[in-house]
Amino acid sequence: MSNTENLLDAFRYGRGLEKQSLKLKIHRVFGVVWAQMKILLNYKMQFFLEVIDIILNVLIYYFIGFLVSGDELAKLGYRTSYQAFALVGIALSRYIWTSISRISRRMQREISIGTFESILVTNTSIDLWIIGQALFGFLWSSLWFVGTLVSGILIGIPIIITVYNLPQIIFIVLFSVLVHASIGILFAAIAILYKQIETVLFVFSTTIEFLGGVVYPIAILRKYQPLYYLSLMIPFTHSLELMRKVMISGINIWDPAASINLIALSLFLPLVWLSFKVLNYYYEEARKLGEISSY
Amino acid sequence: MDNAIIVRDITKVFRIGHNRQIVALDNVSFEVKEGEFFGLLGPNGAGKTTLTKIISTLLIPDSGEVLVNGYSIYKEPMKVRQSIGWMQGETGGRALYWRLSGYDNLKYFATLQGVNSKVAEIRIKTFLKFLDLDKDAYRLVKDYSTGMKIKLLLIRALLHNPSILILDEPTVGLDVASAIKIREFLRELNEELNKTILFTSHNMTEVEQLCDRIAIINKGKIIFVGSARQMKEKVEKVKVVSLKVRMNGKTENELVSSLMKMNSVEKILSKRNDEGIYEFRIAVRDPYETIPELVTKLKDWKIEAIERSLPTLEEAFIRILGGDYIE
Repeated sequence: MSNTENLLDAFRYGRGLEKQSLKLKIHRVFGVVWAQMKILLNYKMQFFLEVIDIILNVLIYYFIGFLVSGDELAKLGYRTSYQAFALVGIALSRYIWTSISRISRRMQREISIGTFESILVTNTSIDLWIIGQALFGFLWSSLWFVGTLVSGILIGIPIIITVYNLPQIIFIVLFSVLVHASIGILFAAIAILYKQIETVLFVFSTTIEFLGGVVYPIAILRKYQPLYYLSLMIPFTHSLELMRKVMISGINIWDPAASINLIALSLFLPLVWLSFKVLNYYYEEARKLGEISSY
Repeated sequence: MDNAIIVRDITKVFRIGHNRQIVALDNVSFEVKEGEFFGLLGPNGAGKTTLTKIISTLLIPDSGEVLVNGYSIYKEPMKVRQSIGWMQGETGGRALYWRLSGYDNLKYFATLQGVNSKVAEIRIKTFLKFLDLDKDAYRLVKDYSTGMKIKLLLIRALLHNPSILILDEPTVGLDVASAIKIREFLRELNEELNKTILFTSHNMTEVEQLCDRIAIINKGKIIFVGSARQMKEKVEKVKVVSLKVRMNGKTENELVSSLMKMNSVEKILSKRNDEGIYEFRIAVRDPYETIPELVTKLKDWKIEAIERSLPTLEEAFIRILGGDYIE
C-alpha cells in the first residue's frame, strides 16, 4: 500500500464516527483533565514543591496551635484544638483558591503559549473546556486536601472522619467547589477581555480567606460588625463552617446548626448559570474585538 | 464545482484607543472552490491573518458573511470548525504543549475535535509515519526542531478529517528540506485527498508551485484574484520573448540583423553572452506569432531555448501592490 493510500485509509476508517453525543462531550472534558495531569506531572519539581507546601502548611499551624488555647475556641463554639480548626481551614481553602483562580490562570497561560486559539477552533465549546479545567482543578485540589488531612492526622491532630460523615464531607467539597468554580469562571470571563487580572485575583482570594476565617473563627469578627456581616455574605465562610461542623464537631449536615450554612451556600447556586452566561458574553465580545489571542 | 469558502463583503475595523481605528478588511469578497489550492498573498499587516481568523470563527466581522461548506460563521460556528483544519501562522512551532510528547499533543487535540480514540490512534500513527515523526512521537515537544513542530501542527489540523485546511504561513522559518517535505505533503493532500487549501505565504516560489489561484490583499482590500499566470500577464506592459542561441561560428551582428528583419519583433531589450550562448530578451507585438517565426527564420542557428518571458511572480506581486499594472 502506498503512503497516500495509507492516508486515505486513515481518513476512511473514521468516517461517521464523530457524533456530538453526551458520551463524546464527557470524553472531551476528561481529555482536558488528562492533558493537564500529564503536563503537571512533567513538571516534576512543581509536583515535589506542592508536597513540601502541604507539609509546611500543616507544621506552621501545628506550632501556632500551641499559642492558642482550646478554651478560647470553646467559647466561640468550637470544642477542639486550634490545630484541628486550622487544618480544616487550610485544607478547604486550597480547593477554593484553585476553584477561583485556576481557570483564568490556565486561560492566560494557554493564550501566552499560543494554544488557546487552537483549542477554540476545535469543535469543543469553550464551556466544555472550562468544565474540564475546573474538574482538573478539583481533582488536583483533592489530592492536596487529602494530603493535608493525612499529614495532620499523622501528627495527631484530632479530626473526625468516619464512614458516616465521609459522604457528607465529599458532598460539602463538591458543593463548595461548584459554587466557587462559578466565581472562577466569572474571573475567567473577565480575563478573556481584560487579560491581566492576577492582582485582582490575589486581592479577592486573600480577602475571602481573611473574611472566611481560614485560621480564626469568624465569631471573632462580631466585634467588628460590618466585617462580620461581610463575611456572612461570602460563600467560602459557609463552606468552611459547614466542613468544621461536620469534621470537628461531628454534627450531621442536616442538623439545623449545619443546614443553615448549607442553605446559605445554596443561595449562591444561581452563580453557576450566571457565570456561563457572562463567560459566553465576554467570549463573543473578545471575538468581536479581536482580543482572544492578545495578552 | 461548488464553493468551499464564500467570503462576501467582509469589513472589520479595529478600534485602537478612543479615537483611532484601523480598517483591517474593507468589503472583502472572494470564493474558494472545492478542492482548490488557494493562495492569499499580501504584505505584512495587509489583513491576511484577520481574514483567516474570521473564516476560522476566531473573529467576528463587523459586516458581511462567510460561508464555509455552506455553514455560516455566525449561525453554525461549530459546523464551520468541524469543516476546517486551522494552522496558525508566525508561531515557529509554538501553539503546542512543549511539556507533552508529540503523540500526546495530537491525542489531546483529537479528543477536543471529538475523534473517537481508536480512530485517533490510527490517524495519528499514520500521519506521524507519513511525515517521518514516528520515531520521535514520544519525545517531549520541547526537544523538537522547528520543522518537527510545524509537521506536528499540520497533523493536528488534519486529525478530524476536515475538508478544508486554512494554513497561515506553514513553511515560515523552515529549512529548505523541511519546506520541500511540507510542500509535497500539502500537494498530496490537495491532489490525492481533494482537500481544499487556503494558504498564506510570503514565499512566491512556493505559491507559484502550489496554488491554483491567488488573491492579493493590500490595506484590507482584495486587489487581485486569479492564477499565477494571469497575475503575471496583468502586469506585463511589454510582451517579451526570450531566446537562447549558440553562435555556431556566426556573429552577434548577424543574429541581431536577422531578428530585426522579422515583422513581429519590435526591439531587442537585452542580450547576454553566457560562454558562447547568447540570451536575447526581445520585445514583440505578439509572442504567438513571433515564436514560430523565430523557429523558421533561425533554422540554421542552434537554438537552445525559446519561450515567452513573463515577469516573475515576485515582480508581478510588487507591481500589483504598487498599482503598476494594466487593467
